[in-house]
Parts: sequence; C-alpha cells; structure tokens
Amino acid sequence: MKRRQFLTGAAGAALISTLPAGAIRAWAQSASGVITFGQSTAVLTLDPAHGAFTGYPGGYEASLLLFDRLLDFDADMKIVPQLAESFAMSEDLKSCELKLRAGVTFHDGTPCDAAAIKFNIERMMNKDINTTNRPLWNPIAGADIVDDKTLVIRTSAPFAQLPNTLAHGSGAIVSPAAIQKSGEAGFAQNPVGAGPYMVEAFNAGQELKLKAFDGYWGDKPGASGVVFKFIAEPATRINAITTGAVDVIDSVPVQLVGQLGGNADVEVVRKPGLRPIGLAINLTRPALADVKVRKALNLAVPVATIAEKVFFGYAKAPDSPLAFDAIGHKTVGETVFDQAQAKSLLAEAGYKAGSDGILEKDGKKLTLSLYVPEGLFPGDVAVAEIVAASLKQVGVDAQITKIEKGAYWDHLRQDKANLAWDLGMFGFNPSNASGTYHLASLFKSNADDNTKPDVWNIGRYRNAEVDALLEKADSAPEEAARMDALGKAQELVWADAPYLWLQINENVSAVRKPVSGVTVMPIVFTNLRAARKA
Amino acid sequence: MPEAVARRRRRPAGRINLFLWLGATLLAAFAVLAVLGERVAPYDPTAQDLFAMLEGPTAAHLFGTDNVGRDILSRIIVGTRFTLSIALASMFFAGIGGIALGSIAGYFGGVTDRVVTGIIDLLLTVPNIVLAIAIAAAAGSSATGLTIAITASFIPPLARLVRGRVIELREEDFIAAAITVGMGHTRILLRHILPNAATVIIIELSLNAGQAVLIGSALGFLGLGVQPPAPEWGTMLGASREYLTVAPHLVIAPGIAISLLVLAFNAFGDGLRDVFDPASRN
Amino acid sequence: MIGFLARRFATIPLVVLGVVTILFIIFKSVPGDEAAFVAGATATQSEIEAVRVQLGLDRPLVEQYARHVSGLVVGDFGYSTTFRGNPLPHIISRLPATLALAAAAIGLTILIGIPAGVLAAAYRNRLPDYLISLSVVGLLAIPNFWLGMLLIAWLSVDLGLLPSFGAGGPASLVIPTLALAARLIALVARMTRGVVIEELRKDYVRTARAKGLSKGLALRRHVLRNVMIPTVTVIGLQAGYLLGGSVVVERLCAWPGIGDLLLTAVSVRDYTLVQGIVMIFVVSFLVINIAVEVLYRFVNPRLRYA
Repeated sequence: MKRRQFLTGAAGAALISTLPAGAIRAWAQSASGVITFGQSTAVLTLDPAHGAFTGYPGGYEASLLLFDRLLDFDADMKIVPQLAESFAMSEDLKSCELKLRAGVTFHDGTPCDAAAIKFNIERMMNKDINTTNRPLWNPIAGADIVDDKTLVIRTSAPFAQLPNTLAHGSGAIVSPAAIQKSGEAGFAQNPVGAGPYMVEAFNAGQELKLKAFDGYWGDKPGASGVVFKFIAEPATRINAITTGAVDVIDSVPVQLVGQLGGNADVEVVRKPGLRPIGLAINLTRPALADVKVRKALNLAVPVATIAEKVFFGYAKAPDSPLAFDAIGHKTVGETVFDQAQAKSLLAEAGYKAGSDGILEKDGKKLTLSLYVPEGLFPGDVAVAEIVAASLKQVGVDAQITKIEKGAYWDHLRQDKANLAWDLGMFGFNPSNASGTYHLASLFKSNADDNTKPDVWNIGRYRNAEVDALLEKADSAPEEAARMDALGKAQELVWADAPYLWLQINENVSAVRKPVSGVTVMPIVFTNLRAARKA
Repeated sequence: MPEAVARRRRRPAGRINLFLWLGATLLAAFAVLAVLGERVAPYDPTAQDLFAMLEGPTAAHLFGTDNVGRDILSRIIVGTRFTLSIALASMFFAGIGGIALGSIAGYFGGVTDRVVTGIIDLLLTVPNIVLAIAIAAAAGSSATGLTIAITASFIPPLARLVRGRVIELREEDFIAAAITVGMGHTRILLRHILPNAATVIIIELSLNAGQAVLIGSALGFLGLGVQPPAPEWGTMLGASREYLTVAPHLVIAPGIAISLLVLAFNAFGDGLRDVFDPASRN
Repeated sequence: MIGFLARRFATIPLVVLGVVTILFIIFKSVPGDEAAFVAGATATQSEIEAVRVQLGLDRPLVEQYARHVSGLVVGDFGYSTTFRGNPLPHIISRLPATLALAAAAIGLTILIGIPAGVLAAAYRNRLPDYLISLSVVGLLAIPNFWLGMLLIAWLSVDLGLLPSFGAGGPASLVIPTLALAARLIALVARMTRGVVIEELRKDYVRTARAKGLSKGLALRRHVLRNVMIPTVTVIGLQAGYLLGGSVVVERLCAWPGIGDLLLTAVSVRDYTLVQGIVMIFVVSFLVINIAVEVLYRFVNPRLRYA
C-alpha cells in the first residue's frame, strides 16, 4: 500500500513536472477577454522577411504578439533577452554568442531549438527571400551551432549593432516546419511563431484574429485573444474607442486628443517618438552650401511654437539630430527662434533685399523649392506652409510643391542631376533604435554623390570627421568609446546644420478600460504584448 | 427628349429675365472679386498667426481662422480667382476641342465620324470625375493640371452635341447650295455651320460651367488641386475635414462660395437657354 | 429581348479594351520610372532592375500591351504595389459596398424625387411648388462633398444620431446616401414635375376630369405610369454621376468601396490598381445603361417590339 501510494505520488509529481510552467500558471487564472485593436495601418503580411513598407507599422505590431525574437527592446529601448537567455558580443565585434532558452515550442508544436534559430538567421541573410531591412542583415555572415543551447552569430565586419538587429521586428523567429508546410509564398498568410499569441484567422488588409497560445514559455498572455482591425479614418478610430467597439487605438491625431480627455473610460498613452522631422537641405546648391545661410534658415522658423501650437504640445523641438530616446542621444544644441539674427547672418553671407523684399546676391534671388508629401508625416502640409511664411519674413522665397505620397520617395532619392528640390521634408525612424544607425543612414558620406544616395543622405552631406566618428561608433570595442564617438558626431552634424530641424512628434495611442498594460514604444509601435483584459 | 418636355412649359417673360439677371449679377460680382482679390480682402490670405488658430467667427474674423491662423474670409475672396479662372479656362478649351472634334466628325461623316465618335463614346463610359482624377494624377498637382483634367472630361459630351448639330445643319439647303457653288469645306464650316451652332454651344458651355466648378473643387477637396498655400475653395474644404469635430466652422465658408458660384453659372445658363432655345435640347 | 441583350453585352469587352488602351497610353506617358515605384524607396539599382525584368517593363511597349491585355482576359490585372499581386479579388471584395451605396441612392431618389415632383406639379405655382423648385435649384448647386460634411457635422457630431465614418450597419449608410442622392433627387423631381404638368394638360386627362374624375385619381390612374419613363432616363443619364460621385462621397465618409480605393491607388501611384478600378467602373456603367434600356422597354410599351 505504502509503495503504491508512493509510486502514485511520484508518478503524479513526475507528470506535473513535465507540464510547461505556463500551463500550470494558466490554471490559476481564469480565461480573460478579447482585446480589439483598431489600427491606422493595415496588416498585409506576417512574414518578417516582408517588412511591408506600405503597411508599416501595422504588421510589426501584430508580429510583436505572434513572434518571439532572440532579443527584445524594453520600454526605454534597452536591449534585453527574450528567446536568448543571455548574449555576449565578442571583443572584435565580429560575433555574438547567444545562450538559448530551453523548452520553447512554436505554435505548431515543433521545438524552437538552436537548429530552428540557425534556419531563421540564414533565411533572413538570404537576399532573395528577405529583400527589406538589408542594412540590418547584410553584415551577418552566418550562424554556428555550438551545442543545444548555444549559438554563435558571425558578421563579416565589426558590427556593434548586431543585438539591435536581433531585437528588430525582422528578427522574429519563425517555425521552419511551417515554412516547409506552407512554402515561402504561403507563410506570410499562415504564420507560425513562438510568441504568446497564435493566428486564429487572417483576412489580409482587414482583420487579424489572434488567440492565446497556451504553450508559451513566458508570462501567460493577458487576454484570450487579440483582434487587429484596420480603421484608416482617425475620426472613426476615436468613435470606435469612445463607444467601446475597440479597446485600443493608435495614431490619435493631436487635434482630437482633447475629445478623448473628457472620457473617463479612455486613457491616452503617449511617448516621444524616434523620428525627428526636418527639411533636408540640398547641399549641392551653391546658395545652400554656405553654413551661414543654413543656420539662418533654422533661426527663421518658430519650431518650438509649432510643436506647442500645431501639435498641441504633443511634439518637442529637438536638441540634437537624434531623437531624445535614440540609443546614444546627446544634447548638443538648442532650437532658437531669432529672425533678427537670421537676417543678419544672411546679410553676412552677402544677401541684400531686393525691391520685392526677397533677398538677392549677384543678381540671383534666394528662391527655394520646398518639397512636402501629403499624409506621410504628421501635419506635413501645415508645417510646410508655416515654414514658407516664416522664411518669407526674413526674405527667403520658399515655393511649396506638394507631392502625393506614392511618388515622394522617388523625388527625394534622386541622382544629383535630377534633384528638383532645395528643401525636402523628411523624417527617419531607426527601427532598431540605434542612434548610430540613424546618423549613419542620413549623414555618412555617399560613395558617389552623383548617383542615388547609399541610404538616406539625400542632401549630399560630406564630412570626413563625422565619417571617422561614425566608424568608431560602430566598431570600437567598448561601449563607452562608441557612445562618446556618437556624441561627438552629433555635435558636428548639429553645427553644420545640413537640415532645417523641425519637431519630434510623440506617438499617441489610447486605451479603454478594462484593458491595461498597453505601452507605446518610441519606434511608433503600440505594444500589446503585455496587455491584459480583465 | 425629357428635358424638352420639361422645357416646353411656358414661362412668363419675367421669369426668364430673373434667372439671366440673377446669374449675370452674381457672376459679375465673382469676377470683380477675382480681379480685385487681395485689394478688397481684409487680411493677407497667407498671413499666419499660430496663436489664433482654429478660432470661430468673431468681429475681427468674420468667418474665423484656419488651422494656421489665417483669416478665412480673405482666403475665400482671393481664392475666387483660382476657381473662376480654372472653370472658364476649362470651358474655353473644352469648347474649342469639342467644336473641332464634333464638326470634323459630323461634317465629314464616314470613317472619320466613326473613329472620332468611337473614341468619344469610349471616353463617355468613364465617369467624369474618374477621368479627371486619372488625368490629374498624371498631369500633376497644379492649376494647369487641373484645367487639363477638367477640359478633357468635358470635351466628349461637347463634341457629341456639336456633332449632332452639325449633322442637322449639314442637311440644310443652303449648305448644299454652297457645295454646288464650289465653296471649300473649311469655309463652309467656319462661315455657315458653326455660327448656326453657336447658340447651342454657348448654352451648353454655360450649363456645364457649373459642373466644371463642382468637379474642380472636388479635385481640390481630394488633394489633387493647386499647390499650398494657394487658397482654392475645394482644397480648403479638404483641409478642414480632419478638424470637422473640433472646428466645424471651417467647413461653412468655402462651401457657400462654391455653391453660389455654381448657382450663378446654372442660373445664367438656364436663362440663356430659355431666351434662345426654349424648345430643343438634345 | 435575348438577341438584344446578347448584342449589347457583346459590346462590353470591346469598350473595355478601348478604355484599357487609352489608359495604357496615358500611364505610359507619365514621367517617372515605373520599376522604381514598385521596387520602393530603399531599393538599390540592381533591385530595381530585377523588378523591371520581373514585371516585363524592359520589353517593347507593344509586347507589354499584348501581355497586359492577354492577362486581363483571364482575370490577371497585373501587379499592384498595394496588394502585392493581382488586385482583382480585392477590387471585387470592395465592390458590393459601392453597389450598395449606388442602389440606396437610386432607391432614395425614387422614394423622394418622384413624390416631390408630383407634389410640385399638383400645386403648381403655389407654395409647395415654390419651395420644392427652390430646393431643386439649391441641391443642384451644392457640392455633394460639402453636403456630406454638413450632414456629418450636424447629424453626427452635434446630434450624435448617426456614425460619422465607416461602414457599420444600416445607420452608417444614411449620410453617404443622402450626400450622393441629393443631386439625383433634384433632377428627378424637376423632371417629374415637368412630365406631370405636361400630362395633366393632355386631352385625355381633361376629358376625364370634365367627366368628374378628381385630380388625385387622374394623377394616379393615368399620369404616374408615364412618369417612370423620364425617371429611368434621368437615372440612366446620371449613371456616370452616380459612379463618379461615389468616389468623393466614399472618401469623405470613409465608406470602404472601390471609389475610396481608387483615391488610395492614385495617391500611391499604383497604376495597375487605378486601371483595374476604372475598368470596373466602365463595366458597371455599361451594365447600368443596358439595364436602363431594358427597363425602358418594359415601361414604354411602344418600344417593346422595336
């Protein structure tokens, strides 16, 4: 009798110990509700290799719940472990050793082990499969399995931002078995990951239904399901959350935030973004090659007032070429509005006012062509109009050309000979949060200024010192040295004024009770991973 | 045919003049505003005041201020120029295009007629505004692009009308006589046919002008219009849409302006038609 | 009837081909590198070239045209950058919303326009006539997108009676339908008024009335039958307006039909999608025209054996 009881007891204990920890915790909590998220952009594809340019950030927000990555960003954009328990970059920054978590399975039951991760890394390295986010993946040379729990990722050159790539949305780990089953083309609509939620139904472009994944290794999902609905119209989103049709919305237009303020059930969630908006200055134009002129342009525009008034306080004037929460941001300057000083700088540069009030030099008027897209950046056309009016006040004639969003990038990124703009509105969002990535994308010298820019150095900025500092920021072995170099680079760029710096917008979302745990990340994403619905 | 039925009712003479005079007066008023523009506007239409954004109507600003603090009334006044000139230019060019195509098709008949009519009928299957949108998208956002788009969408119906009238006239005796005498085709067209078609054409253009204003401002509303900061009425309405819940006053002024101008053209065209051609309408 | 229908439907493919050709010419003459648009802003030159080959943009224009048309015949509308593939299924899935709006507008027009016209004719030159005629004049001058905005501001924002935007249940159909139908109602009312006045003057009606028939009965028994002809004609003539007007109204009210999709396509320079939608518009227009002709024959017995 005793033996049998003991055996039963032991068997029982053995049985329980084989169950995933998550399932045990699940018994302790009752089933919770479904969270509905009204998104401003549609989820078109759920394959991390299809970083949908037109569907940003909708797809990424969904993949935050569907997939786990090796590493993750926390609320302050610090890199923390996820599927990898720990990570260590080598001294020469050419490899990273990752210790993997045990007992993780994908939604389809297959194990997420070192082999699966290696498959993923190689898949994303493959230029034919992964055509987007190349700057994040090109430096990676391969992944080697050391043992069951250890993986080493190698890069072809020192690449300090390797952890950022692994934490990026495109670093989502997918199930190799699912790729086998659905094929490369089919996976995007039938994704299988290892995240807290799995796909229940997917109507691309309209609605995505997720349900909680009971086999998740980490914190149990806070809701029984999440539904992503595409609601393009801001007023409709506001309506939907006010009436309770959805629990969460993103991209709340700042002029409508006031409407939500009066509603006791709705909470506004905000976070300064990572995307400074500005007007790129075409440095190939003789008039704009003079730093005095560029500084004058900056002084002429009331950026702080724009941030305060046009964006109702949901924006701030910058103090660096980088956003406040970018990794490596350093305060290097101050946004000043001083039209008197602007005028005197322009006079120093040799400009005199003509009969119509427009400045001229050597018989040529200071007329600038200002390109602005419609609907691509917050308040784009309104801000452009304010800039034009402000510049007019100091004698600079800015002519606005509004381009529809589809054609805008093509106009910006042109060969030198075809650059039609003098000032072009632009904002870059470093989706891996790295300040080095941001600065390098915009300000590292192009290999050849005559052809299209390498990344986003559309104004043809060229400063050898900055290039050297950026190199150091990427490859110096110690983090302190890297951050120091990045800080110095920001100082130099700010002093050169290759942009007419405008505002840095906040990302504003709204959440309805009883949902909690929704955060807004600086990289525009509304993060529902830790959301709970009572 | 149905239009003819409706028109056959006799109107007392006073009614005809009312429409014509009402239309003409309003159009004249708009023309004056278009020409004088900035000189009668209380403020500079591009003067911004970030500390007086989105204010409702007050004594200082009769129609309030917009999203960057500009006076709406001034923008409406100065904006007359855009809407009016685009509408008139479109009608002018559409008239020329329609007359050219329609007379060639109607007069020469045969294969020429079939080809031209075929193309016209094809274009007529595309709704007016869709054609205008497609062309505006290709021609770019500007007053010129807008004019091209609107012109193109009105040429087919005008050409059709002209063709019909030319075919009618072609059968007249005096044309047969002219041909016998040896008069050249061009002369016949220019001296005999077109002058007799003129009435119909002018009436049609006047009636269509109102439509041109509606389509033009619709394109502006959709963002396919002139470049900022130009104060075009349709564009102003489009920009006011996102503020509909917080500043509804933005919507009132441009809409009234558009409606009045369309009303003016419609009344004028109706009045003209009653005077010259009460019984017929293709 | 069958022969007639067959003949009319047979012309549709020809017309569509013609429109496709014209659009092809227009879009190919727009400046800009089509392959670059599709490949996206961050594409390298080699990626753009790859796209160019993939989409066949490096072949001579005539060959591109031939491939294009042969694709259309089997339902392959080409590569749309918005949907990353053939846009046809997506267009078809959004078509019912536009058709619903158009149908509702036609329904409302018949429901309000005809009675209004009859009323105006019955009380000719008296107060109801003046009021209705004035409304007609007003409705023909008001831009439909402005009317829509006013309705939203009043009925939705102020009174909270109706949803402002989007498609969610029958209540959300009200404002877009009103905005779209306004012009049609005015035209039909004006038309009906004229027709009714004309009919009331006719000999047979006068005879009946002389014999003691009341005005109301005269109206109902004789006149109304003849009203349908011009009404159907007007709606047919305005089919273009109905389809085109839906573009603006859909954008304003965020109604998820193909009109709204057309504008999205234009803003992102997705010419394949633009063309696909224009083709659907053309086909719809032609079908409506045929339907009008069929109705015409039913309503007008004299034509039935034509």
